Amino acid sequence: MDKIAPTRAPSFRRRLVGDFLPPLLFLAVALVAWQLIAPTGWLINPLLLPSPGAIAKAGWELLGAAYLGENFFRTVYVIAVGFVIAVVAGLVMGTLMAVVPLLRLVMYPYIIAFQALPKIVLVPLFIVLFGFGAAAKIVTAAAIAFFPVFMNTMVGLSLVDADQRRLMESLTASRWQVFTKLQIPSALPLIFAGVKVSATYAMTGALAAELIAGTDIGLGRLISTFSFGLQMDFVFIIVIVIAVMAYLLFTGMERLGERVVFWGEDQERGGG
Amino acid sequence: MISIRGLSKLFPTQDGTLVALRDVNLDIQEGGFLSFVGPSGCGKSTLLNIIGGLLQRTEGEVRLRGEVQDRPRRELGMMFQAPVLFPWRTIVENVLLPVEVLGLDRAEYQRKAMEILNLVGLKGFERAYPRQLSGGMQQRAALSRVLVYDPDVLLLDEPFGSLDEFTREALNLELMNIWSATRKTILFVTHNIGEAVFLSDRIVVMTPRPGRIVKVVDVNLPRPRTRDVMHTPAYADRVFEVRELLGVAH
Amino acid sequence: MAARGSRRGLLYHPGMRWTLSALVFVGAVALWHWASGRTILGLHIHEIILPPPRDVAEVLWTLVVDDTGFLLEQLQVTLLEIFAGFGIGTALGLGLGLLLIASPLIRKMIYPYIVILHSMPGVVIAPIIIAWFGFGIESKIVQSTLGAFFPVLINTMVGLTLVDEHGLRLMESLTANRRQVFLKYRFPSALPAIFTGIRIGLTFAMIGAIISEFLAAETGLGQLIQRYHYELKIPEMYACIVLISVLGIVLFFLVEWLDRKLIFWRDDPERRLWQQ
Repeated sequence: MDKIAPTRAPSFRRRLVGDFLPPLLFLAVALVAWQLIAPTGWLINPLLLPSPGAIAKAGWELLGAAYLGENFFRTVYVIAVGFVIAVVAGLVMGTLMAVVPLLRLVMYPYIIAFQALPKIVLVPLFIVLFGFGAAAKIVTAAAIAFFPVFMNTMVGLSLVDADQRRLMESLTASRWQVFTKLQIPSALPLIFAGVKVSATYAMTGALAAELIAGTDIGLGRLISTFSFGLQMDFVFIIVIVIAVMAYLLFTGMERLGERVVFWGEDQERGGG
Repeated sequence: MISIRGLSKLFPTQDGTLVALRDVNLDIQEGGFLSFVGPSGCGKSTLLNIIGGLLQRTEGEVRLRGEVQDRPRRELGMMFQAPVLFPWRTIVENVLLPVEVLGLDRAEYQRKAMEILNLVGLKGFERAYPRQLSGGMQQRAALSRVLVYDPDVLLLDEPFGSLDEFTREALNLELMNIWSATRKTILFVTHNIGEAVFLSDRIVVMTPRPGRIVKVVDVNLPRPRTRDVMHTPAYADRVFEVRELLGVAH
Repeated sequence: MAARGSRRGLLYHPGMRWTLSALVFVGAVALWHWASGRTILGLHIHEIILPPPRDVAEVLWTLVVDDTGFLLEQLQVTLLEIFAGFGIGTALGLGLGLLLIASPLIRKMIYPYIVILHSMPGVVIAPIIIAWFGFGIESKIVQSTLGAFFPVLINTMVGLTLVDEHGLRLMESLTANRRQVFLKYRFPSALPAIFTGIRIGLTFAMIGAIISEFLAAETGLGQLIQRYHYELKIPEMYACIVLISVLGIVLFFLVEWLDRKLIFWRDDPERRLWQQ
């Protein structure tokens, strides 16, 4: 049997159809099935699982609602502030730990402990300390988002390629020069990967805090109220809105990353 | 034993087609030690991979004992520049990998694996893990792995390229001893001309753009060869001959 | 280059390190004690919201020593939720991961949605899960399962996809068939990534169980925290937070230990950072 290797890559159109069609088809089938089954209550009480049509209707209503704006922007505000605090703190602390080894070694048990504990358990604590307003949510978002940036900054700045360091030394570079011309640029891919994860964690933290607090305003609060009122169609539409927000945030950060760290090293950290 | 006729290999790239090999014709006798030398891009590794069946040719044919050769088979053993030992297996378990894959009797080959490891100087390291071994030792383990299932033809792609001079020399000698004892057909890719002359019966000299054979040089140095042969004028002549063919000045 | 280790000076001696670490702890507690009830920069830190360390310690002692039975009851429930969810989620994640790797068509159909679902914060689903499965333990297990499922799935897929070319070539040269390549090479080489996914999965399983308990539950340590919160028994609330934190840390180290034993060949340059 003669096996000759092909010498041409598959065409663009072929790839387009091959990659986009299956998921779209799947979605279409799923939506149709869902729309047909849900109202009949066959699988589950239609009150608990509204049909796509009902969810869309709720979404339409929501768009016109006066309260959507303030809740939406409050959540965005909390996420943004929490994220900024986390990044600044993470960069500063991470740099400190990288540059002062003694500090790192002494704080090691606490860093590990703080990394290991499920930070969500601190939300009631923050609510007690800071009240039911925005502050507790910002602190939660910041606390959860802090770690990825912090760890990645610390690791990125500390684990420098030995050959690159030796090169700088052979050029009689001062510590400051090694730091600015080598450590920082070489750590950027890792640091940015951490920032990416932090953004999503800030979102998780903000929403978790809003959910648990249950009062004041915010998208999480809306979910809480609607779900207690068993208005699941509204709950679903808000969840979808959040999913879209999360996806945009995620891909937005990816695009930004490709611009900022253009020399393209692939450094994925598992987060946690 | 191996015959190659009109072999060509083309790669599609963004800037047009790359001619990795053009019209290669070669006959390889059974039991011979054949080296392939040439600069980067001359196609020597590509050729080896095609013979080994890991790469598909574009044109021409390769035959092994009269049959078309276009896929890996147990009569062929390949060794690469990287040892490629599995870090989760001990050394002896790594050596026995082919035995497992080929479905051979593990008990029988266990003994043989231990013998070969002893032969290449890794006695005592059978139960160690790859990360505990140096680069040279890892390559010895890789060599053991390719010997354990006794293939007729060994295809070695710059196996000692990443090792230091001394380790490389030692392994060259070991390889020669193994070849003398077993008389396998060995195809050896290297860019070290001295190494090629020292080890082989014939040297296939190749150049790039497009990748092709310039000439097949008969080494004609008496065997058995020791390091002393490197001081003989005949040796130097061969090395110069190859260098000239490659267009390297002086 | 300056030499490392003991030559660096007294400060780097291991004994000194641990003493300093302990001092940090003492200092933190002292700061806590000082801050409780004090007015800083015009802000009064009431003893109710920040009870002095001694009160929390007393309550902790009472809970652990006197009310052991009660405490264990709550702990058991939470642990069950975490481990059940973790177990199911891991199994599902592994299974689906293998399926998606094996079938490119199904993968193309489903994977984009997995990416979207994965990037969404799982916590917002919690009220829906509670509405569907009730206030009892079931909703916590489901939430916990969801938490573990995604990291395991994603890491399994990444691990099985990003295999070293060299190993594949080696297996090919030995005439291995697809099953052999998978069992002897692909899968073992993916184990480090898979186990990382499992580690993350446990963390998220814990988060899932806890947040579900926070929102609506009858028993469990998380529920206990909320109950004390409503009853304004703040020192008790603090104590329970400490307990869950300890639980989290213990589980973390458990998984770390398991990882070191099972994935013994893992090469992690980060570990060096802590030894210097």
